Amino acid sequence: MGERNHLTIPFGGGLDRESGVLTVQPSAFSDLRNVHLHDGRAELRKGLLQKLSLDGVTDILGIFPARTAGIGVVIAYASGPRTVSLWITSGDVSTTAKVGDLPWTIAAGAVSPPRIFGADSYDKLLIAHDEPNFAYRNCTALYDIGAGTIDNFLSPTLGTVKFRGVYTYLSYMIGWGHGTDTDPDRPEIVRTSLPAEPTNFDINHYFVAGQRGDPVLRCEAAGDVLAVRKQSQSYDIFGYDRSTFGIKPSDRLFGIGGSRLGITVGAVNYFWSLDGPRSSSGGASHDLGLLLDLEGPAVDVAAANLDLDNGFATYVPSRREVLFVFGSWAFVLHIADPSALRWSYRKLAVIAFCAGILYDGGAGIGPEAHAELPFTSSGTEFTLQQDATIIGALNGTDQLEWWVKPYTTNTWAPKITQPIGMATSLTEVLTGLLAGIPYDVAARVKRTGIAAAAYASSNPASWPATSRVVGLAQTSMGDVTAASFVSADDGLGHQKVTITLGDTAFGQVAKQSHVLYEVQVDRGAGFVDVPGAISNFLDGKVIVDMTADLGHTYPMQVRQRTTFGTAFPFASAWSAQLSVTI
Amino acid sequence: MAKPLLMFGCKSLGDLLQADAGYTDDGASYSLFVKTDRVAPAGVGGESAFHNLYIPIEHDVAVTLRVTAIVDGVALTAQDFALSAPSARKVTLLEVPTTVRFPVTIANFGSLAQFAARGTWLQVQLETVGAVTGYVAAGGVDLEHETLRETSQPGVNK
Repeated sequence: MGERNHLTIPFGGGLDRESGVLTVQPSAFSDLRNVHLHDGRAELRKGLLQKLSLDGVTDILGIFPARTAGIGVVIAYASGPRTVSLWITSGDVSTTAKVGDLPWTIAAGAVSPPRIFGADSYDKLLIAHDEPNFAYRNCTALYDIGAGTIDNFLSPTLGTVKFRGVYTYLSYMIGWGHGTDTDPDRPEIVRTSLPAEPTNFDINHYFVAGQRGDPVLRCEAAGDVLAVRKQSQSYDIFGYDRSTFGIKPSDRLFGIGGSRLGITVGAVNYFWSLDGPRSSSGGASHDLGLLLDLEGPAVDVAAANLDLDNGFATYVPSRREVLFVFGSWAFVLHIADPSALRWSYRKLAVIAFCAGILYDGGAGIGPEAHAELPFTSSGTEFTLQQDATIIGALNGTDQLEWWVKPYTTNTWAPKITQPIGMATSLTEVLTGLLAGIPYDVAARVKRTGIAAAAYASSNPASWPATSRVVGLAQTSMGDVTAASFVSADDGLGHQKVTITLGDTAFGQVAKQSHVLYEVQVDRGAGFVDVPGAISNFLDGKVIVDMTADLGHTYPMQVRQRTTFGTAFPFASAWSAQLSVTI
Repeated sequence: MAKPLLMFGCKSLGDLLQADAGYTDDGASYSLFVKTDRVAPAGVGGESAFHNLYIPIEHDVAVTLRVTAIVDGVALTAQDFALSAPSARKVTLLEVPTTVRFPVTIANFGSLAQFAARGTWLQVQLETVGAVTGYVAAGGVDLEHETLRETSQPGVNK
């Protein structure tokens, strides 16, 4: 028996499908899947744990942090109605709530599920429809995180825009794929917002990247430049403000294979070109894919035909891994040691479509405070002034939403939303109300547009009772401070008295359809009603037929009264008595 | 402040999945799979007898590992090793014989013929079998071999 020897093959190296048999290192692997690589060991990777499931959703399109609110934003797709919805999650992704649908319908001929870009800045999230066909592309949407509203994005000088992608860079919002309102389909144009104004794009602030019609697919920071990737070319936007910005070609051969196949970690932009993975810190890019031998036999059927259009790149901070994901297959670049980049494969048991890093700001998705309304309301003819006491913790972005309902109806309506700040008590003047009406008033606290569970209903009657004031808040009818009485023949043989209310506010009351007039005359035996008053709601006048009293001079008076319900028939005081010669 | 969370969204599924958490992909198990590059202990023109593989496995759960030695491109019979769950994370050394037993028997003495696999190139394939619920890591492979014929050509992989 000969001498027995030992050859140690340490794990922890990466794939090497490129080197020849005489040069390959013993610690290299020809196949390596589902591992986290460490120095001298290969660890079974950890998994994908379900945190939330969104109802009525077929695909998750994008996951974005809303840093100002410390929450996450999820964009989802329902393939049946072809609608796109926006959800928010708590910072720890333990709870979620649907904010609403984007004002989008994905056209029948458009890419489905749609691809999107999202970028948050200054409490706003812009969402761009990454649809190659401009005719099918939806307008860029704006989610106001604090207010919880979703609308088409409207730039002051550009109007509505159809960016193909958006990205935050320095203090700017970057958008690409939109020209002007007269020449909107300009896929090679990259626009910048005004500094620190992510929703304000000046029509003259743009770059032209390469040939007209050759679309920009992605913009991303790389070193101290903004790398502009097209499919087979790259450009660098250099500078830091409008006076220093410029654009130059950086790589005439390599671009990005799909719009989502890039990610920047630190100063290095990793991206997947048509020829495989590359990296750049600005300027020309470097090949990262030699060890993968992508031109050789596919290691797995899932790796044979990579869907570049729907692939995406992401980064696992805790593992220092850059992932290029193509459905259920991923190429993993281990970058913990920048001087010794290593590759492995990852076979997923799900078909991944997007990923996003969320930063747990510790925020829930609903408010921690609620409002209680004391019975302190006061009002004028058209307004109510109501106090509210805020109970519970505030974060400075919470808002108070007021609702009103005429006491005798069942129709609640939101009236106004006011910022709370850190106040523990607020007073709001609710305007535009009907005169002489008792109102129910309710208020709830919302955070990022979401109310707490007990206040989620659109019927405040179901909210906790302390959030409502029922029937005790009332607008006044006011007093008729001035009125004129003019008697005249109407030309048809009738003597009519036209009463005009002189008070401006009261004239407005008169135009409300629930208001009636009462007119009285004193023929010597006390005031009695004059029947048959004709209301003219448009000019605040009332006309009564006094033909039977022609030739007499009697005192007359007028007042207004609400007909709204029977429980609270409010009436104004009588006007001053005026002698009227009929 | 908590660590950043990498969340995955799926196609044809409304689930939000937290990356680097648990040991399933949304409930479905997956396997660690490692296949080394070829090594030629006696050089590319030499020949070795391969006796044993020693593989240190660090784990804190029960796990079944399947080891397959591949000699000159021919896979030997895969061998499964079921490791029980330790009370705390520990290193278990797998001793994987690469010998082949032939059923040549005399009376009640059992198999008498046992041959080490011999060849030039060796690859080792290691994978987990079935669901794994915790930490498992492989430290590498220690190959016990015997040089039968030295190559005259120096090999890098020797």
